[in-house]
Amino acid sequence: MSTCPQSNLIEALHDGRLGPTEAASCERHLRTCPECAARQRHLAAVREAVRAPVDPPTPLAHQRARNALLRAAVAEPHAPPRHRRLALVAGVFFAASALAGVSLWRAGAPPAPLPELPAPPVAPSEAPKESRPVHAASNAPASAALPSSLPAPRVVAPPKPRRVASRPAVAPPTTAPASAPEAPPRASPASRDFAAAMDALAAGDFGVAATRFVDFTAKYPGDPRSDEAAYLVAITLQRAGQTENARTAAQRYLRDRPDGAHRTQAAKIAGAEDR
Amino acid sequence: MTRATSRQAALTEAADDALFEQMATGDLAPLGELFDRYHASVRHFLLRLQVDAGEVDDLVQETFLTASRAAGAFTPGAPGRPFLFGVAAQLVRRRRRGFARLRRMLESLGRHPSAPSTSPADRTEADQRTAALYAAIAKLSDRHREVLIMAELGEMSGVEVASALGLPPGTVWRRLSEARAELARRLKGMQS
Repeated sequence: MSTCPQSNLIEALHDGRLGPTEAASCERHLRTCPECAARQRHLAAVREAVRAPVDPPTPLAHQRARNALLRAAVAEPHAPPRHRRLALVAGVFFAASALAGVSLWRAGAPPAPLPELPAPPVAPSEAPKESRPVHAASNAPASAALPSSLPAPRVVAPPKPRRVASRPAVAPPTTAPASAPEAPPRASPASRDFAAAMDALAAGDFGVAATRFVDFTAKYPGDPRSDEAAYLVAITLQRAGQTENARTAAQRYLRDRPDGAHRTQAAKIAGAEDR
Repeated sequence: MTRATSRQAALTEAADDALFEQMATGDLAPLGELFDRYHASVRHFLLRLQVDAGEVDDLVQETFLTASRAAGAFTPGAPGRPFLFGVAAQLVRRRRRGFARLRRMLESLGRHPSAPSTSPADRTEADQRTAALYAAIAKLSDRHREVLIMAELGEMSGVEVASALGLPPGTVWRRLSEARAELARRLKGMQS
């Protein structure tokens, strides 16, 4: 196939395996040898084809994939180190008290005693997404925000007022029974609210999702996901066609979180005419 | 060593190996950052390995999950991308071994933006050549393709490819050479 004695050097040149002297002499040779030049063009064409960009994921798809990954990573039972195990226990406790907190809130009581998670950087004890349908209570304010075109929200029976409501759980996580870590993780209120917002986003109810993300950032400013949530406000507004509001939200994100993980994207939205 | 606190701010600037080091201790906080950095690259890599578009997002996620679990195996000082490519390639191999192989290459060919699906008459000669090239890459054997794509897309040396795939470097060079020769052969056949 190849007749030129130099032809096997072309590939080495292409892969950067030649030293500077060899490379220079090989490049000189290329100018005079059509066969080797053709070979080099072929190698370059292959490289170009492989590197040609593929359709990039949209910011929304990226966001969804990112959240799915973090959810899966936390759900994964691979040898959780001690602090995660504790967080899991705490999560179980707080989940138990969550209903209490929510019904209290519904009944018009001040929302003060909502328990805050101890929150290691990645959300502890996420429940698998499908395990918890959107809660009626978290649905109510959101649907009010978007009057029309709500495709029958997935609402479970509204929580009955419960006796436990008067007793906000403050049990320290360390007192949890030893068997607790084996129990399936239950959602914390924050996780549930975040999941509810993500569900609305996934369902295409952008107005609803935006409201829920705003609520989330207000309610759980210390939660590791609040950065995501704040950014997603801008994304969802953008998707809802509210370009002006999206820009405002992005600008707010940049102002409040100058070191936020999404500052680059947010800057794009903040500066964009429309996208 | 103890970078435990105040890491959220530092995270965005941290080197890849710092992220992996942190994950090796079981702290998954850097996973999101790692994903932001490399998900597009990994996705590109998987698509070029002829992973079906419907499966690619699953595999991207699996890649990062597996990488977080295997973070202890990460070489300090190394960049993250070759490691992730290695994990992704292993997952693809495993998947292909597990399932009966359905050849979807013509279908996937149609998805490449640079491979127009219109009638041949409309295409320029350059377009036709590019399309032929993608078709030829799709027809490579898996072992040839993974080496080629990793070397070209990842800008990785043969030694790096070899360590990412768990092969001897000599094997990588040979396969790389064979893959390119095979492509040249197929393209020549199409031209005449």
